[in-house]
Amino acid sequence: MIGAAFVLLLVMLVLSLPVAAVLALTGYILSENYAFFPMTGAAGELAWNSSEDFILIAAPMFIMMGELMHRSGVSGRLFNALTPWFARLPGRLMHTNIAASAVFAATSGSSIATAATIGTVAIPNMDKGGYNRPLFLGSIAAGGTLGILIPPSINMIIYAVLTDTSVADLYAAGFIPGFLLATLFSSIVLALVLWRPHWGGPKVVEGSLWPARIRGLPHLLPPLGLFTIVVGSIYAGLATPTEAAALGLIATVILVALNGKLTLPVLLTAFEGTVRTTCMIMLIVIAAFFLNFVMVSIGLVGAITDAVLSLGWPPLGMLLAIVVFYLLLGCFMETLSMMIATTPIIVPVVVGLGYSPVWWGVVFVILIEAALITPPVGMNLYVVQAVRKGGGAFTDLFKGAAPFLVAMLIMIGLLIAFPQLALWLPTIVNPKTGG
Amino acid sequence: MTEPLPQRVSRWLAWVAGAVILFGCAVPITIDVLARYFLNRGLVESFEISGYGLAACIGLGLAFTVTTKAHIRVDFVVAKMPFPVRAACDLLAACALAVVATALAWFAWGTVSQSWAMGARSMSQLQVPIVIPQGLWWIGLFWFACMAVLAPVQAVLRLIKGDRAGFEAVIGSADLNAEIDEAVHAVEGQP
Repeated sequence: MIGAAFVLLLVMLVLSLPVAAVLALTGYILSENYAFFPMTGAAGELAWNSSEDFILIAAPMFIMMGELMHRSGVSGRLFNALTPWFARLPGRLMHTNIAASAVFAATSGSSIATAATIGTVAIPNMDKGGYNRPLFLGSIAAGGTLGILIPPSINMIIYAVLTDTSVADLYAAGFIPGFLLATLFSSIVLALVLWRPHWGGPKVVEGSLWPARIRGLPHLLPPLGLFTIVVGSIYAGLATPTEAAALGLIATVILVALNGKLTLPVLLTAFEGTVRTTCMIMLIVIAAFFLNFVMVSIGLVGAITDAVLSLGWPPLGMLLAIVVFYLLLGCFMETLSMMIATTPIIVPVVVGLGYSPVWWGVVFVILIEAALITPPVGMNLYVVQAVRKGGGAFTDLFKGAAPFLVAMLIMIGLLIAFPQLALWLPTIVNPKTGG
Repeated sequence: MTEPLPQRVSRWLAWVAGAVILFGCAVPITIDVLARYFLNRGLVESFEISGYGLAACIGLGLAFTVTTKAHIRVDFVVAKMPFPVRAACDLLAACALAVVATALAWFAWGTVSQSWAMGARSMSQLQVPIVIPQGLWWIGLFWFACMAVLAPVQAVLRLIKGDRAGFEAVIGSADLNAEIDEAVHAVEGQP
């Protein structure tokens, strides 16, 4: 039964059937062959229940928030405001790339939007500053991936719904690893530039930077304000994550309007982008719910978990095997669909090994970030390459992303060694359920 | 730029679906959060309304995912194949989506008609007849099924006429570059 299910999935995926259709058809075939009564009777009800799920409503609102932020012109000013702060640090603008990504990530739940936004303002400065191109481009591609780790994160909402964990706990858990990972990215840039000073470009700055630093501060307010509204309202107990998403979206609309960018074409394009992404994701979610329902009913999830646990591997060995599996899979599969398709199978296994689903959620998101910068299917690499107008070798991107991939692996190692990095904050903000 | 009518209708529906998220979900929820904070009570039952909003958005928006080829496919192997193999896979993928879309509309109809037969109402103060939001959702799913069935038919007709580019435009692999250009343009496009 396990073998049949995997072969089915694999064959349909390689034939390039849409992921949603693969999941739905696998569910149908499994139910026809192994179920005592047809499961399809529940399909309509399942589809309706997931279509009106209150937690999932947060996803389109965060997506729309990103679509609008992306067009608001906030990012350029944010970038310029951060630049003087890193002007004396070896590697200068590369740290700005990472910091701006981290701050922008805090208002956007999407990695691709973050990379496109920061890349557009950063890349014109690359050759002007005499930076090492691969490393500079890599810092943008990798910085962009922070979008899904630092709250708010669309991936975490969907993970929360699929695994019945709390979005608030997941957001709290992602906070410290998110900023730690940004710091790791910066440290790697620093180390490389100290090793090869010419990679960081010549020093150009003279005189005091403080006037420029102070002048730029007001431009940090819009993104930080949004972050405070969205994340602050959750932990102040004013709003659930879905309600926070609504507050964030309304605040973003007001912000874009204040910037004079709220026109009908902008709004309609944002609607189109939002609906396209939301419906694509939701069809996969509905299909995954159906497949999961069938798999649980015919005992497949239990069988897989038992089969894995009966191998008798130590939990750490099994966990590392799963990590390697995702690093490989992530090279070839679009990340969000990979997450939705595999969560219902992997999470019971991981929990069976004795790990917390909240902790795994954070590790999982970092693995997805890694997938975004590993070729051949690494979406962020393509985004950055596209932003880089003059062209240039695509291999620059692979080379440049490699050090940051190492940083991600170090981060996963740290999380395995010190689970409290993720689990401490949830116990503080939510003592009852945290962790 | 003149789009064919089915595509244009799908785009209009996507605009409506987007407006539903903003005005049917975000606005009522925000009103309720503020009212709860300042007046100590909710005003507009946003919990329930926004659920219907998401369902309506999904229903009405799904057709747009067909006309804009939004569905994720693992197609890096297929993309390297010669045209006949690639075309066969594209067609198979489009047919699989059509089957799933039709099945979804079919099973959803079962749910809607059951709610109708039982005269089901929501268990809240609003007591909304469930058929209203479910019906709206179903109309969208029905249109989604129509578009999903139409796409492979249209593609085959074009192929018969020898129009390979037209075939790929309807059901070929999503054009990654166009998509990224769109994302990049969005940042730069504004004055």
